[in-house]
Amino acid sequence: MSYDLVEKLKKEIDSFQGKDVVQKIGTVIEVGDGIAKISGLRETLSQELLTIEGAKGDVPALAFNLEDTFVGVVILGDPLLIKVGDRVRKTGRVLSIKVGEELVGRVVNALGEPLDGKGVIFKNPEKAKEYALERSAPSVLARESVGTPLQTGIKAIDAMIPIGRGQRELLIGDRQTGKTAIALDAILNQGQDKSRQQVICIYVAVGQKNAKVARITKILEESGAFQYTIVVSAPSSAPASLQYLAPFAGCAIGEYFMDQGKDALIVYDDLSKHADAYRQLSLLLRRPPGREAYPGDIFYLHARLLERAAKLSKEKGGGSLTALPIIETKLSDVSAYIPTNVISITDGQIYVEPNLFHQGVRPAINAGLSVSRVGSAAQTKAMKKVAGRLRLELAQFRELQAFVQFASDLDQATREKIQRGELLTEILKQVDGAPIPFERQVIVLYAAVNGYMDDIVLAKVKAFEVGLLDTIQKLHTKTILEPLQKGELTSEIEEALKKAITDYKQMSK
Amino acid sequence: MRYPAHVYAHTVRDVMSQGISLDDVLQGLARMLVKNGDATHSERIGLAIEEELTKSHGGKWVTLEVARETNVSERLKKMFPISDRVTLHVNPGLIAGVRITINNEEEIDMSFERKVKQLFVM
Repeated sequence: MSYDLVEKLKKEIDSFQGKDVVQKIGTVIEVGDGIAKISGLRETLSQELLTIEGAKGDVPALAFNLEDTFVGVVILGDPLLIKVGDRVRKTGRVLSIKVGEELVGRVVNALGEPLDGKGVIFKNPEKAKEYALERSAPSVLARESVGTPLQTGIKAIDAMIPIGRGQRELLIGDRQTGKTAIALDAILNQGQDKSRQQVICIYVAVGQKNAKVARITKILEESGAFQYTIVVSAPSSAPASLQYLAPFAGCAIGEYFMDQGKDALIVYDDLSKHADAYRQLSLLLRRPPGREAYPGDIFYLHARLLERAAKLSKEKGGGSLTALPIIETKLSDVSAYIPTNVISITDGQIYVEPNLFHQGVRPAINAGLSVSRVGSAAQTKAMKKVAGRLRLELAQFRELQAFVQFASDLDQATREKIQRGELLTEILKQVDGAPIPFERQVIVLYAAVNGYMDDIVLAKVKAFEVGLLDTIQKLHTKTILEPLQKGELTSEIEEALKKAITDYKQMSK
Repeated sequence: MRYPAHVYAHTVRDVMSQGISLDDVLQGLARMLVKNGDATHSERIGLAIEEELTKSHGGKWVTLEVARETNVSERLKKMFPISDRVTLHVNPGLIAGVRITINNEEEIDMSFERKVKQLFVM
């Protein structure tokens, strides 16, 4: 074997043609806090990848600020390897990440390096495609309207705030209100929605605790969701440069699958920390601070990221990238700078309230303030049939909620509306980590809005729901469940459903 | 540093172009460095001023790096015009050969170290 090795080396050396050329170089004049200043390299392009030749190895850096006498760069590797006086070279390339099917089931950082200890990702790295982290969003002509539902498995969302494939729907609320839980349920449910093309999910963790990322990874593994999920992790211990790049890396991965004609879902958790990381880099590089010390292009940062989520036309392959950005508010202030920015970019928001959370309404979605601008275009016909009445009755209940404590002094019709509203609120409560397929949601909501559960005590509603679904699963799969998966509530299915619910009620008395 | 070295260098160049003598300029510079608290960086600032004045007179700032001490260093220096400021450094990291850097912006790397690096990358 050593003879083969020697022959191989001899061949390499013989064929080597090292040409001496004049190269442009720069020199590190300042380094610290994850950024560096480079003198020389006047022809550096914005966002160009540079290589800093440290004593113990090369460190990549990204050209961020092009000043007249120096280039401000963001260090992407270990800044401790760099010292003042180190040489810097241009690469002539922009920052890109290797993408491919091999990424599914892996945890990577913003540069595409594996973090899960499962070995190399690409067996033949030279054959892997490279996608630039910064890419233009699809043009108007390359898109088509969002029309295919992305089922989240959460009744409140799929019924009243439906999300379509290719939409951007914001999850916004205070800390510890269940935003990540909603996003996780959406990912878990993609393994249950067999009626359509499998959605590849990408979870981007920006500035999160390592323990939280580990917990989420474990949940995904145990539920089998890792068969179609990729995790891009830039925890709070990662440098600000990687926290800034992680959402773009995740988006590039999602675009790869979208360009293949597949559907992808990307969760950005969360963009508030992304904005903070970008603010940190901008302040260190002496960019002029604006409102709340954010740089002037903070809107552009999120706009160009979220615009890359789209539903492509059939000519472009028909793929889609759905984005679920998460924003953390402070003291429920949705009128703060970053929340208002992202609200104006996205196609709707799901507002999660701490008051509802503490009252036990989980998911703590405020249906009154939440909206989906795609609306019923992203709903199946079956769900549209039940959801319209659901939304109306809940809206009426919200108006009457103030009178709940005076229930005994109200007329019969008002009392019924209040009881129906309480029932529907109870129906919409759901344990996290247990998304419900849409056909089962339709069954439960049908029973609720058509009065079949009006005589059920609130405390027993959940048990009734579980029992009903269990019974239909056992006895009516062929007549109700399977036909419903096609998305329509035909008159035959409706008749079968009515009979099934009535029979179950009789049985459970 | 209160001001970067290149700012001091450009200032000295601009002041000298107004015809003020070098002695006066250096005295003024020394007072300014003490006032700004940048006296401890005088070596770096001095190098920057020297580089700037060389460039403003049409010369180049040339750095020659060789792997080991050589008896032809003076001959190497004389290969460049008198307007150029040539410095010679010994850098064992090059292993063999020479590396020429011009104005800290361009280089011709004829060192063995670069060839080995290229070979293993290939």
